[in-house]
Amino acid sequence: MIHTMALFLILFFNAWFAHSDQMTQRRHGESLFFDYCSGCHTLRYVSHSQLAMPEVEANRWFGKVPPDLSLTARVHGAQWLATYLTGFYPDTHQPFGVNNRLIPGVSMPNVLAPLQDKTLNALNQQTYQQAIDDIVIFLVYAAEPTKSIRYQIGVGVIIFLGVFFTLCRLVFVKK
Amino acid sequence: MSGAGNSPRDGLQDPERVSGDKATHIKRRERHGQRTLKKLFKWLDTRLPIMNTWKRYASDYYVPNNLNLYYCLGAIALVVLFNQLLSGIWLTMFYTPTIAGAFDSIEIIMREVHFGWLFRYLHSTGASAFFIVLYLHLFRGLLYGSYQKPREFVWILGMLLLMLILAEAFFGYLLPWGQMSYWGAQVMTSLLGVIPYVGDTLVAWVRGDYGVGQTTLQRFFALHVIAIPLLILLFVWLHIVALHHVGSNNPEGIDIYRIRDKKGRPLDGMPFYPVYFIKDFLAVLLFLTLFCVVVFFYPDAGGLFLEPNNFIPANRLLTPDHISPAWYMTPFYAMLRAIPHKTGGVLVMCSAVLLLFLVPWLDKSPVRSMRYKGMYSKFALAGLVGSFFILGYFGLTEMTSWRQWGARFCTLVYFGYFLFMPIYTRVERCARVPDRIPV
Repeated sequence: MIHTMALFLILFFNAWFAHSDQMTQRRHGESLFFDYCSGCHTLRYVSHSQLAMPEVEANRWFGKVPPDLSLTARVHGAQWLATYLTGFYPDTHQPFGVNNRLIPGVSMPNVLAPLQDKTLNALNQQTYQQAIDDIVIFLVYAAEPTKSIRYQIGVGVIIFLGVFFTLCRLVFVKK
Repeated sequence: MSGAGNSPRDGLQDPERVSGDKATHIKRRERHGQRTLKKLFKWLDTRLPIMNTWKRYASDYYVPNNLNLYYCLGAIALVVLFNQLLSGIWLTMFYTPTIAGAFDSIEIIMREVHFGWLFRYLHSTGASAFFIVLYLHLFRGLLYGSYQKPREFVWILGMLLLMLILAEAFFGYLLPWGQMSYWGAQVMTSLLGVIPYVGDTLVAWVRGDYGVGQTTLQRFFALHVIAIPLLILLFVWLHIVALHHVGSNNPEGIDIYRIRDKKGRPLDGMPFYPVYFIKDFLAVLLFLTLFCVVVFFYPDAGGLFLEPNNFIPANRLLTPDHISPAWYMTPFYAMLRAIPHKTGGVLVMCSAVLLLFLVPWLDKSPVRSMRYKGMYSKFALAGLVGSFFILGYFGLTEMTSWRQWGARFCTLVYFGYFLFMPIYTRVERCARVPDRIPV
């Protein structure tokens, strides 16, 4: 009994801490998304973001419509997104002069390059990495905005069920 | 039944009541209320067999006194069924069964509808939980020989239920209209094409179109929310009625209903209510705790309960690299893929489920429970369970050469359990079963 309860407690607090302190990072990621990504990519299911270029225009630029990013984090995961965003390298055979390690022959230019360039920007490598992390955190949030409330309610539900079970056992089962 | 309050002289015997004290007045009204309730209940009971049913199904229903946790799975399955019904009703209120609106409506349920995410996760986790519970329930039956005489029909009804629930899950899996939904339905419906002469016509008839499309989605929706659930409820009722008619088996496989006391009560049994009622209740609470841990913290279950590819809207021009059904169908799917011949594969897959219906007649053993059966039965059952798990894993992953040979070997072990059952249950040495349940 005690072991099971301890396991449950570890499970919630693990989940609780992992998701409690990401608010500022998410806000930062959101503003970065609107500065660097939303010119081409939609977030269809996030209600305030219909800023992307028209499909005809997108086809002329990239030969395809840039994908909607509302659920990308649920399809590929956060690690995939971070790997993709940091995976660009120079390649003169490509239309935009860059290629990607994760998606070879990618149609997207390295839009975050200005953040990386030390001569043009005051940001250093560490804050570039921070920017990528924050965009990923924002995209993970956009893929499931109800996640934090789910964790909060979940903790209450599990504690209630645990206490209720223990009480019922004490009341009904004679040792 | 009739209390002291029935007599008209009651009030006169009580000096306080005559004085009209307020407390007494309330007491009197309470007693009056109880009397009215009793009368109402009696009125109803003479018209509807309430007490009779309660006695037959709970207070006078004798069950063996050695039932273990495996025997709580029926009650848990019932709870999961009601969870599916309730969460399903809520989802139906917000879901749109059109190919243009289905995927979007699910995302709106997840984001905009109050507690929509909760109902969706209760429903999706419930589907997987249902199969975990049912496969364990089925394993219990095989382990303790619960299918043997006189419980053959309970077993048949249970197997029909399993098939209905597989169908229910298959129809429901199309509704989110993601890539896996679409291509899973496309592959599974195409399997009907192997039937000679009428196959292709049948595929088009089932889909209502040449490919899975609007008509298919709409009819799968109708089947998922009305037709199959009604059948499931009917068969659950029959399953329980049939079980209570013949009585429960137990881990020892000893018939407790043969040896009774003078009043006709089984010596090794006790009434279902209250002891087993409380045991089932506690087991349900424990199950719900585990269930809620998954619902609230791990609803994807690492891509097993909700597949990542199903968060991409269905696209008939883009076939995914790897198509697989939900985890609870993958053991059968792995058998299908293991056979290089399409018709043969479909036959093997279908007979893998259908053979389970025949188990009551394939088992020739003089004893029920695995506790008294011989070594051959134990190895065969271990082989069945092991091959089921390994096939399930193979069905989820991409096919390679050695996995295909592994899947073929596991398919042979799986079928060996059934096909050689009449032989190994006859020749093996069983232990002697005592008359009474050992303490």
